[in-house]
Amino acid sequence: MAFTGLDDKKLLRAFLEEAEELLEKLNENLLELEKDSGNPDSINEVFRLTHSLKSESALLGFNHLSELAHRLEDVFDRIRGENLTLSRPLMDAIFSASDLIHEIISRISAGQIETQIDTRAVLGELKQLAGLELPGPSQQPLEAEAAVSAAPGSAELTLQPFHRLQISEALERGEKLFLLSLKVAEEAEIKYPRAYLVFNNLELITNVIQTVPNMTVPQDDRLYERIVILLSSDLPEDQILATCAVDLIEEPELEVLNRSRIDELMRQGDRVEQTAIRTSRPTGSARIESASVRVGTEKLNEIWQLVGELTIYKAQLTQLHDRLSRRRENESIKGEVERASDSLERITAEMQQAIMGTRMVPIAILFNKFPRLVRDLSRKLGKNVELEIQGKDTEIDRTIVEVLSDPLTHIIRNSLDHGLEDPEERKKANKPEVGRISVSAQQQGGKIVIEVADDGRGLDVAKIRKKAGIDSDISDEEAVQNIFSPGFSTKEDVTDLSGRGVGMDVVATRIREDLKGEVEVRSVTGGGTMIRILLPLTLTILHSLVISCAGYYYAIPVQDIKETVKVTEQNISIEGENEYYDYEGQKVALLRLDSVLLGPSAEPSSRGQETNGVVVAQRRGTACLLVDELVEEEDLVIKPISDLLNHRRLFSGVTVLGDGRIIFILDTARIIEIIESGGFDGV
Amino acid sequence: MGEKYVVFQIGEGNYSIPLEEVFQIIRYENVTGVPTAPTFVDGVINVGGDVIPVVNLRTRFSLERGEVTRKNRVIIVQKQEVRYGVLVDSVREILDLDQDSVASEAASVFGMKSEFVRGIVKIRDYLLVLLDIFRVLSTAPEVSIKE
Repeated sequence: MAFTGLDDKKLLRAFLEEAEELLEKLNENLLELEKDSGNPDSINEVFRLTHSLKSESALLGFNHLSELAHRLEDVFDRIRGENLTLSRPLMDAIFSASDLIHEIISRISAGQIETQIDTRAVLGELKQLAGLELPGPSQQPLEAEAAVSAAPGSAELTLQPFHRLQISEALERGEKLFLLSLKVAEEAEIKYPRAYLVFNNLELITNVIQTVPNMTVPQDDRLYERIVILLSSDLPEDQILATCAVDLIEEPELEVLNRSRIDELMRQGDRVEQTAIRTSRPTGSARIESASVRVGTEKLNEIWQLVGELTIYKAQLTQLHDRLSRRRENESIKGEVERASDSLERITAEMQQAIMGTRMVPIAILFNKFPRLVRDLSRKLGKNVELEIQGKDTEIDRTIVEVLSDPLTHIIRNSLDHGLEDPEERKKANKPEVGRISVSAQQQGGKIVIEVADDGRGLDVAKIRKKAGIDSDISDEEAVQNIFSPGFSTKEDVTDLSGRGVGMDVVATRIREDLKGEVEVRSVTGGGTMIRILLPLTLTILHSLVISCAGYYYAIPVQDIKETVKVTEQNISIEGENEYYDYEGQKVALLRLDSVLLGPSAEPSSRGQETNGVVVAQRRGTACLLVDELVEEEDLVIKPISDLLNHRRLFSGVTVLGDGRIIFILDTARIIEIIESGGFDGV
Repeated sequence: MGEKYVVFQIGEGNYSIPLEEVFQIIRYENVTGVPTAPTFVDGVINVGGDVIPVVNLRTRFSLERGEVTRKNRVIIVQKQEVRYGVLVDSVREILDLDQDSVASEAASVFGMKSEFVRGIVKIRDYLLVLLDIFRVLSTAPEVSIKE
C-alpha cells in the first residue's frame, strides 16, 4: 500500500466515506431492479454508481475493487444498450459482486489489504452470464490472493505472500521466529501511542513481520487493547521482552515458534482461499468502520446556533459574577459562582473550538478540481502547462470553500487563458516551453493565504494605466491593483482582453464582500502574475472590540484595528469640510461615528475634549473613528443582518451580547471605501 | 376546510396573512433602536439569538405612529429562513378561510395599492384584506404602500 503521508490518509478517509455512500445507493437500486428489472432509471443509476466507484478506487490503487466495479459497469452498459436482459441468475451474480465490493471496502476500512479477497469466482460468473470478455487470468495473480488465518494463539494474524517470503528469508539467515503478544492496561486512556512505543522499540532491534492490529496506520483506539506481533530476530528472548518495558504495557508473552508451528503458519494459505468469498454473503453484516461521520450542514448549523447561545449565557454568567463580586455579602456563593463560571468559560471555549473544527475541511476538496481543469483547458488552448499544488491539507471553513470555488477557478482560467503565452511565444522569449501555474494555501496567523502564480507574460501596466486613467506618480505596483476595481474589465473593448486581468473586479468583489477577505496582485512584465488572497479562518466568529457611540453599541473586528488612541483638538486638522487626525505623522481621515450613523444633526457627543479614537486600516486606506467609549473585547458570534437595517451597508453583521444588548458590527472596509470616494463629505 | 389565517388590525383596517407564514407572535418588548434604519423600522428584537428587524406597519402604511399599548403584538413572519417582525395594533383572531369566499379582484380597500393585496374577504361584519406581507417588506422604503 502506498499510503504513507497525511495527504494519503485523508484521501483514503474521503474515499471510504464516498464509497460507503455509493454502496448504499447501489444496494438500493439493485433492490429496486430485483422488483422491476426493466426500470431504466435504476439501470442508469447503477451504471453511473459503478462507474464512479471504478474510477475512484483506481485512483487510490485498489485494483481489485476497481476491476469488480468495472465489470459491473460493463454489465450495466450492455443492459442499458439492450444487449442483455437481467435474468435471475445474472441478478444473483450482480448481488454477489456487490457483496464482494462491500466486503473489500470494509477490509480496507479495517486497515487490511484488498487482495485478501478472491474475486475470481465472482468475476467468472459475471463473465459467463453476461457474455463479457474478461482480460486474461494473468490479471489475477494466483498466489497473491490467499488470506491466511494463522495457527491458534495467533488467530487474528493474517499472512500475505510477502510475509511468507519474509519468514523464509529470516529462517535462511538463521534467525528465530517469535510471536509476541501483549496488552495495554485498561486504565490507559489512549492505547495506540503506548502500543506504538513497543512496536517502535521492536523495529529498532528486530525484524517485525506483521502486527495485529495494524501499527503503521492508526485504527480505532480500542483495537489496541491486545496486540500480536510476529517478528524474527537472532537476539535472546529477554532482550526482545525488554522492548515491552513501557508504562501500562501488561502481560507480554513471547513464544518462540518451532518448526511445526511455522509450517502450520505457512501452509494455512491453501486452505483459506476458498472460504474467503463464501463467508461474505450478507451485506448488512459487514460494517464499514469509518473514522469520520457525515453531518448535514443543517444539523451543523443547528449545533452552531446552540453554541452561539451557550456563549451568550456564558457571558451573562460572567457579568452576574462581576456584579455579585461588587457586593460584600454572600462570600461562599461568590466562590461557587466563580468556579462555575470558570468551568463554563473553559467548556464553552473548547466546545466552540471543537464545533469550529467540524466546520473546517481541507482545501484539497477545492484544489483537487484544478488538475483536471488545467489539463482540459490547456489542451483546448494548445498550451503546455504544468500545475503545481501546495498546502492541500490547509483547513478552511466549509462555507468559505463554497464561495471561493468560482473566483479561484476564474483566476486559474485567467492565468491559462491570458497569462501564459503559447509555446511559440515562450520560445521566442527564451522561456521554457512548458508554462507553470502554482496554487498554494497556507495558514498565517489568523488568516489563510492562497496564492495563484504563473510564469506568463504578466499584466500590461501601460494598458491598465490608460484604462483606469492613473497618474504617472503612482507606482506600477499600485497601478495594477486597479484590475480589482469594480467595473474595470468590462469598461470597453471586450475583444482585446489580455493583459488586463479579465473579470478580476468580479473576483475581488466576491472575496472582499462575501468572504471579508483581501486580494492583491503582483506582476512582472514578461515574468508572470501572482494573485494573493487573504481570507479569515472563519466567517462566523470574530474577535472584536465593542464600543459605544451616542447610546448605541457597535463592534469593530480586532483584525481591522491598528491602535486605539486618545484624540484631542491638537491632533486634529481641518481641510475644507474634512477633518484629519495626525496619526504618527501621517494625516488620516477622521470620522465622527455619531454623525456617520445618525446624521450630521446628531448631538456632538464630546467635541472639544479628549475623545477615544480607533485607528482602523484596510488596503484602501486608514481612518480614525471617534467613539464615545471603548467597552470590551469579545469573541462575537456573527449573524447576518437584514438588508432592511443596512441599506448603507455600513454593517457586516449583528450579534447579541450576554445581557441581551444588540451589537452592530462595523464594516470598516466599506466605511473607508466611502471616505476615500468622498461619500461622507461634510460629515 | 380552508387554510388558516392570522387576522390583525392596523388603524381601522383588518388585515390577514396565512398562518404558515407566521413563525411566532410576541409582545412588543425590548426593541433596540437601529441607527441608519428607515423610519418605519422601529428597531431590532432578539428572538432566540436571532436579530430580527421590527417593521412598524402603521408607519409603513403612512398612519400616525400611535402609542404602544398592551394590545400591540409583533408577528414574526418567516420566508426561506429569513425572519421579520411586524408590529401590529392587535391580533384579532385566527380564521379558517375557504378560498372560494375570497374575492380575487384586488380592489383598493383602505387605499392599499393592489399589488400588496392578495384578495378581499367579507367576514361577518367586516372586510378583511389578505396582505402580501413579504412584498410589503421587500419594497423599497421610498415606495408608498398606499395609493
